Amino acid sequence: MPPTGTKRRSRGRPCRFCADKTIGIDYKDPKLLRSFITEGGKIVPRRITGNCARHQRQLATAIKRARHLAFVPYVAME
Amino acid sequence: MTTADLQHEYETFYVTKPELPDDEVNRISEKLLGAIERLKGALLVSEDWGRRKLSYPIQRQNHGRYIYLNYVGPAALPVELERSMGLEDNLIRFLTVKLGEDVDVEERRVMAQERTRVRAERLAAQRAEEEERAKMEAEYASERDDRRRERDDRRPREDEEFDPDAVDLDVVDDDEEV
Repeated sequence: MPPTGTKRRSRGRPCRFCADKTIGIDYKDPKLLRSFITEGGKIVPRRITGNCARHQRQLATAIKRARHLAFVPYVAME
Repeated sequence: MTTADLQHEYETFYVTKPELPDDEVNRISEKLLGAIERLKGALLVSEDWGRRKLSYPIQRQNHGRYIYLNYVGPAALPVELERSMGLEDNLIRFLTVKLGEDVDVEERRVMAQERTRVRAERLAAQRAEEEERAKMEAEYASERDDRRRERDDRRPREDEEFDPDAVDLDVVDDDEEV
């Protein structure tokens, strides 16, 4: 039983990419990447997305590559 | 066989200015393909992704033409390609990623063909879906217009029906007096 007063998000949800092995993380797929960046263009933290460490790392690299090619913005969408 | 002969797999994107004439784009791509051949690499896939909107302006350009290359070659090859691309004023961005080390060229060729096929299918499916949606929307719009026309037809046209002489004003006056 968790200590009283602490609010915990349910831990049952596994990483999206682990759950569905067919989704490849690819910098060429801006549509997918956009669901992992905020409106301001920041990478959404793992704590929010629930991604596992490995996939979050791959995702971060992909987003950075996509930014360089202007597939996704570095900062603030219009 | 020395390490200089090992074949690695790479992919490169380069982005040209959107209004660049086709023969200039072809010249650049021929230059790069020539370098791949010269350094004993092999081209697997070459795709023109066409004009796309940039997420942010680069060199005062809002659009770019994206070209994708997938190839195998020795480690010196991407170095040469990047040098070559760096010399072009009309390329606004490029990115090279290593996909595999010391690969089996024939196997990669088959895999690349498979990827190309899948991509072509997906694009075709996407296009079909868009067409379908456009058709449905057009249909809906015409149905809606029909419904509107029907409704408008049913409703009496005021300028035709209204006849001031037909209204019995006296009745109202009588009521008020009572």
